[in-house]
Amino acid sequence: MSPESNHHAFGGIGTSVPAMSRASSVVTAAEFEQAFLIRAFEQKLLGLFSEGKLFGTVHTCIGQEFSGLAVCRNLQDGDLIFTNHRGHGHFLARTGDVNGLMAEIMGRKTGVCGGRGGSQHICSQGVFSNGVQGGIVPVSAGLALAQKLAKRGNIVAVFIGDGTLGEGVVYEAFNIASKWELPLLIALENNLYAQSTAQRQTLAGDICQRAEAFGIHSLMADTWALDGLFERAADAVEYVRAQSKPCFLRIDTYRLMAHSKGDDDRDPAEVKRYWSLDPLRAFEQEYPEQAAGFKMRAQERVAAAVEDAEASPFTEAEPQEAPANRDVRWVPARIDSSDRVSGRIYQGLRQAMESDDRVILLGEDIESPYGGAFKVTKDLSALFPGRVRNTPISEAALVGIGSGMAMAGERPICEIMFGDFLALACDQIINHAAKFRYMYNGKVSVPVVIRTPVGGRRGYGPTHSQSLEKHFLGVPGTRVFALHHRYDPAAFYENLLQQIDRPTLVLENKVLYAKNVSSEAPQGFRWEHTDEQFPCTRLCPAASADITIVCYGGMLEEAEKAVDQLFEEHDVIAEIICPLQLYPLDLNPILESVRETRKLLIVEEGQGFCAFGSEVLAAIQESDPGLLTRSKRRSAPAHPIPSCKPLELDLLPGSDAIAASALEVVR
Amino acid sequence: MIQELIPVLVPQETVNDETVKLTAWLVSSGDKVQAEQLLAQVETSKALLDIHAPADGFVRYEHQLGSELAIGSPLCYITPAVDTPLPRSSPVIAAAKVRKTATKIVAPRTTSEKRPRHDVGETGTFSPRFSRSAVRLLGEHNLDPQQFAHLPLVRAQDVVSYIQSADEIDELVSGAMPAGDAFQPAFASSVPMRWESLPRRKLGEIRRLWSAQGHALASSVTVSCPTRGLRSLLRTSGGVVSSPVAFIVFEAARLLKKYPAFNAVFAEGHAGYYEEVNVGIAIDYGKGLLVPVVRNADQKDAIEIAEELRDLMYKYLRQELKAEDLSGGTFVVSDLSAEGVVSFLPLINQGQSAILGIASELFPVADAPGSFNFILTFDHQLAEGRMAAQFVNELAERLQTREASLRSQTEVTQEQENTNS
Repeated sequence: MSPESNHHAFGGIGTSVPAMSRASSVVTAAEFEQAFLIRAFEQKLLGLFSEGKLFGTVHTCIGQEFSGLAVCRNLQDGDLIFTNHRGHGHFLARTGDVNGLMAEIMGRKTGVCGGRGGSQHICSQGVFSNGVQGGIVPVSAGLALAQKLAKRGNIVAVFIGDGTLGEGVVYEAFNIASKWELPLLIALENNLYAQSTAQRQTLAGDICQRAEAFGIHSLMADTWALDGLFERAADAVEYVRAQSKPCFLRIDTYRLMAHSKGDDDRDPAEVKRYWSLDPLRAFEQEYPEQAAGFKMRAQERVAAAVEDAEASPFTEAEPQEAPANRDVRWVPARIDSSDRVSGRIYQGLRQAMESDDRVILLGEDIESPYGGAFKVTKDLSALFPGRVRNTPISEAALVGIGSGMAMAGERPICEIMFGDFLALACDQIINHAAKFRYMYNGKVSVPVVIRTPVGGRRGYGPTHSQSLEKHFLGVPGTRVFALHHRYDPAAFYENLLQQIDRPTLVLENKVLYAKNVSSEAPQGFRWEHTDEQFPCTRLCPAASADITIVCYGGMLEEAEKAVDQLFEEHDVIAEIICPLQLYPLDLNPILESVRETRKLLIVEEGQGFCAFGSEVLAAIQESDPGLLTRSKRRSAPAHPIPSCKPLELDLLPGSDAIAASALEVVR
Repeated sequence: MIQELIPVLVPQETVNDETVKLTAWLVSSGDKVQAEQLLAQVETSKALLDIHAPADGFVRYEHQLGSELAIGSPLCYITPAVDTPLPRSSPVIAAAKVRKTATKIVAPRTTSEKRPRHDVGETGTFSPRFSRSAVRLLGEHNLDPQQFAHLPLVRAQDVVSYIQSADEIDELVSGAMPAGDAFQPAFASSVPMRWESLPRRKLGEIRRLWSAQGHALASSVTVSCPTRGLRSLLRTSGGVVSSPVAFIVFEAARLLKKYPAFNAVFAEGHAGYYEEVNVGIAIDYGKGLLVPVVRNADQKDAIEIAEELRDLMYKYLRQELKAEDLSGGTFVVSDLSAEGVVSFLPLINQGQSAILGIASELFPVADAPGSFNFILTFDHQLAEGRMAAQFVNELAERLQTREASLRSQTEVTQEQENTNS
């Protein structure tokens, strides 16, 4: 969490200008000047865009300036804003940092996010933005939950547009925000268009009734009656703060310029009519001299910001995290526990909760007495009251809330009941949690754990049995782990929670839940771990191996059986390398083994196209061409997982299939 | 240069041979020789053997070509000086270096160099694991699993390559000639004779013993143990322990803790002491000479040992002994007491330093106390005759004590029975 303090005054400017009582009894001259500044800023952006000095596109809020000003006026230090692709006005209203934003949009190092985030991805002084629709609402709810837990009376305001009402995750978040009474102000700017599509084409029912249906208090205002807007905004903020409940503020407004560039198909007459209602034009007509002064100062400031920005270099690529550049060191595995994997996960979570009260569990059906679909969280809700929360069936929202809490310094652990449902939370993981640290220039980290049972062989069928990790591997800024029964999951979770610094996906194989955690090895073999915090495991034969088998997670058990079988029945000695951390992947333990065997079998339970095995094979090839004399991947066929268990077992790679594949490689 | 004289002994090559024939001297007595230099050739019943010098020095001998020399007797000596006095007879036994030109009779060769992947010190001793096909081959070729003690994972190819390297020894043993009709012995005799190939079982045994003899400097002591008839006493007492062997294993196992040099192995100038006392029992009841192992015999009582011996015997007879039954021995007891043997020379097994032989009870005068002999063959690299004598004497004393106590118990019981009747 950025420790930056928040400023909602424009440094020094406008504070001495008297209120424009005739234009508004509520809005101050200073606020008009801020509005002129926002407009000048965005008009300059349009100019810069035409000059080819901007990247991507520009979403202006010209015509909507007062909605942000109205809300921000009532915010206090410590309150947070989460805004969207059209967020320059909100940001400037809250921070006044013209130079920082201009440099940011121009991709410069002096930008508020070092030029990484650009127009739509801002983080400074308690203001965040993201360009993906809807997903910011659960993240804001998570920030609001953290605010509530901190008990300092702070709130979060999230800005969305009417177009965003098409996103389902918004309603997941509404539901939870209302149910959990989160101090969240949802400011909806209703400008009647989703990009170029008119609301009449896309919106059924009533906007406010949507929020009201969730029991959220709703208010309405517009940017043409400014007194009412500022009053309603004050009411809304006051309600959220005082009641510690969400409030929905609908602000009707109109975007006077295109959505971005060159995509305005609205009726010109309609646009013209709204220009005639523009409060800034009205102010200019009424106070031409003052307006001219505001505009001039604004333009000067913006011009200076552009000059400043252009003097700053472009942002540079973030240095890659270098893989551990050291020898692989193996130590014999020693696991004292005789508990099951599920019991050890429980123990790890419990220890983490005991030692750090920031650790909070979110998930579906995880409270006692049910304690989770696989009973991993058992009685934790009774042991740690308030820190284990049952959520509605809202995977996206619960992950988003976890991310928001993590950004605020909590250590949430989100359980996704079945790994298949990760797909529901995909946007939250990939477009939100994974991106924040980078695009906010390291000002935030998102230490959220998403743990989920994966894998088949239980007859759960095509949508409750998959190993979908390949879709989540390789997202920069994340980590992916696959637990197994040869490394103590309790130790894993304890370590993880102590040093987590990024969104972390933990795959727990369903079948392994019931297996005992132990370091018992087949005769003539030994379990070893690398001497790292998240070790790679190997089943090391006492003699030199003929083949390396790489696997992870639930496949380890099958591979283990295959190794035993290969020796007993086929006189083949195999070594297993089983990384705990799949991404980022340290290739060294695999390379080390393959340098001896020069033969490789990669086994995974998921489907093989563009999967972990493909990556490992490619990486080995790049790292040491010609190293492998033979190799093979053994994965599930490109076939949905059948519910019929015998067929399922037939399709998923088991020990026999692994042994057979290994023989193909060896012989 | 050596400090003391080294006797070069006539090596034991097959258990069948008591003597070998000296067929060639390749040096003259008094010649200066270098270690490994070829000294002589001797002929066993099956093969010609090269005898190499064990060290630099002067070779000294008296035997003439064609002499029959007893196994274990000195063939010649390597002396520090050309005129070092020679002993009349030497109790010290040094192993002659026996080599076939291209083959070393040491550890079996394997297909690939095994890297020591596991630190044995950390996890305890490995007992080899045999693949299914390896077990089958062991059985087919009657191989001792202990031959593979240095391999943690033994596969068919390991056994095959062992057999192949052993076949080279077989060639040595059998004069490099095919067996059967095609066999053309290098050995010639004026007396008409016929040749028969030895069964693989026997060849396996030869190999096993050879590989141990190549490493040990075998010496032996014999101690006579007075008895009034321990065998018959046990047979008639009706107890669980019906043979002296269980008691001997029991007592020997405990004594081995006191005399670790006999529960050890010599390797590369080091003494390796076994942490366990696993006593092998040489059994030969017509199904081959096998040595099943009573593990941790020092921690078992005599009854447990007796029961285990009975189980092993049962398995032996049914040919159900598994690789694990036969591996891991650290000491062997060889009992020929039922065979009317007064004395014999037990041969140390591979990876061990001693073997205890039990000879038959002798009663020269009817109805008077007699005795039987304990023979301890031991590796002189780890112990001396005196220590060996102490070990065997203590064993004999314990056996006497036990016999006395058993006899008094039995007599009491018999008296009671007499009284009751």
